[in-house]
Amino acid sequence: MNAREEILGRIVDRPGDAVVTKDFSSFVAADLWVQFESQLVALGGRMIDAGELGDLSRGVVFAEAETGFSSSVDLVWDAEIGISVGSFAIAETGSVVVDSSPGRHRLSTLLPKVSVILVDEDQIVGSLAEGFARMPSRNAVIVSGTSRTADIEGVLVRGVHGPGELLVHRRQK
Amino acid sequence: MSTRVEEFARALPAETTASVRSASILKTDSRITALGVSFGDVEGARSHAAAIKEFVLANLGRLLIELEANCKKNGIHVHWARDASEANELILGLCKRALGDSKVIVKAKSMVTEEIHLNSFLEAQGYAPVETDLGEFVVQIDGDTPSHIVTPIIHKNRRQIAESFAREKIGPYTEVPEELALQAREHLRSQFAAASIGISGVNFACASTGRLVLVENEGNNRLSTTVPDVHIAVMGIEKVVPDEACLSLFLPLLAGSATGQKLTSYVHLIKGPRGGDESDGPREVHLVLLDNNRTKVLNGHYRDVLKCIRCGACLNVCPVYRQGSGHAYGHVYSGPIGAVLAPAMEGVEKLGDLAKASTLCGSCEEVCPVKIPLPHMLLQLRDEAFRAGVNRDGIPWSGFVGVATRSGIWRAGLTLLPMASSLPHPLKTKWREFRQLPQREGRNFRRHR
Repeated sequence: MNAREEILGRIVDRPGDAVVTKDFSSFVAADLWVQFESQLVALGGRMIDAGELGDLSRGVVFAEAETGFSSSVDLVWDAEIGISVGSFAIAETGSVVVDSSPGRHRLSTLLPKVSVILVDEDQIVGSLAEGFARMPSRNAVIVSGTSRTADIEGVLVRGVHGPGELLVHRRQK
Repeated sequence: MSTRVEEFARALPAETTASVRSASILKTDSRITALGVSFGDVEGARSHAAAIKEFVLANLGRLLIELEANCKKNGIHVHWARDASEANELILGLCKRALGDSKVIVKAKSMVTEEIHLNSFLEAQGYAPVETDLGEFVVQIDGDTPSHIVTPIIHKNRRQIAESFAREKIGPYTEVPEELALQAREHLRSQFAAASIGISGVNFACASTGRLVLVENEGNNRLSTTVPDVHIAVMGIEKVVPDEACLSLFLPLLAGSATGQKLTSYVHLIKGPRGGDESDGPREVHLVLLDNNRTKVLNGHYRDVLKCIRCGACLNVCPVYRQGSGHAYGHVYSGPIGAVLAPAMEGVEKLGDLAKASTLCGSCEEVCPVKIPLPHMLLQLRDEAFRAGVNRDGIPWSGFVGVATRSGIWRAGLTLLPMASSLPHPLKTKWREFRQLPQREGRNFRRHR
């Protein structure tokens, strides 16, 4: 008998009704972008305006084509700043969802020390549960704040393997 | 208490106990705040999570088959392993095929690969698995083992870490946590670039979509599962969940209970290998479904421990863990969950003494995000271990049992014992030179017929 059959053979199911996930979140929707920003700031990130975005784009940048900016380096490994496009934001947790749609790079929000993510202003949901209801079916990452560790004496350190700075720009249509 | 655990705790340097204690207390406090912020009804959320996990255990066979089918649809290769050695051989086979001259394998933090001792197995075969989580990296360069399932170096302070980094020439000596983290970042970047295999665990595997969900804070997990050409994910079969909707409950419960966060910095939803229209990601993704005694636990008394989501909250709150650290348990899984899981998986005869590494204070059950009845299980394990001939104490206690189980002798003892206090004794006389004994009140506390 192969491993699969043997393991499944040891399991006896007792089928019952599926449990439908209920929402226990304490989130109450108000102004979603205001709520998003306060969460983002609590996570060590911040919102930036078009002016600051323009300034940043002149640095050592790797930018996804969709952002409208051009890269100054060929490889994302060499960039100090990554400019990426996010699918949508989640107000409750201050998160941005990035996925692997064509033209996007999973590593552009990860390798550079500064990660800039552009999110269209109408692409925001309130709760995490709403976020999962519209989660892209591709490879995706929910980014909530900077890369961090508290492994050394519980001291919070930002930017271990990923970016130490997370900047989100709300893109006007 | 378990003699083994107690002896270890007593021999532990005060410095280590202090590290473990302060970090555990910190994490226990932040857990309460985080869960209170995330959930309107924390109790309700925990009960509901437990109900979903109960459903998973009652439908495990069906869910695994569904997971396998959907993973295959997504292009993930699914493998099954009965035990640790089968899993290790399987992973070795994949490494042999994928690795040319490079022997470097990057590893994201994973308890299940600790459980099967994958690193030492691969090293013996000439490979160089590199732990990339900061804590696990320190554990690896020190030749140590993790002392906590979430924060592996909870037993070390910054000076000890600084010394290890300097010794291994990771960078110039510094005790500043930011600088140490930066040194690790620089050092490990080259390893990520060189590795063609990345190995990770899995936090949740969604049956309905075939997506693997991994949580982390540092970014090393994303790097390990995105940069190399081949990603191998290893999971215990109990980690399957029915759908992705339940993640909106489990993710904040896990992050809150483990590290006091609403969500971890990164939640990785892995669908499969790089698609034709994708610009990065591994070319191959493999999923290893590991039993390693889990089906045995599923069919036994301690089935509920399979609901565990590895948050470590029960370790942080446990007075025995705080005193002894994870190393005292002598097993990959420590704390109250380890004291049940380890003997349940590997046998009461072998590890049943761990059941005594508990004060039965009940805190572990109070904090468990999926309400595993750990104190009840610890009691049951004690009973089982005793019957199996483990945990039998020496002569002094058998003497006590001899007296306590014979009512005549017991009652006589109760009558005689108070009289003993009025007998003169040299020690008592010495003691009374400086102190006064309180007068007996004359009532007998235990006399009832």
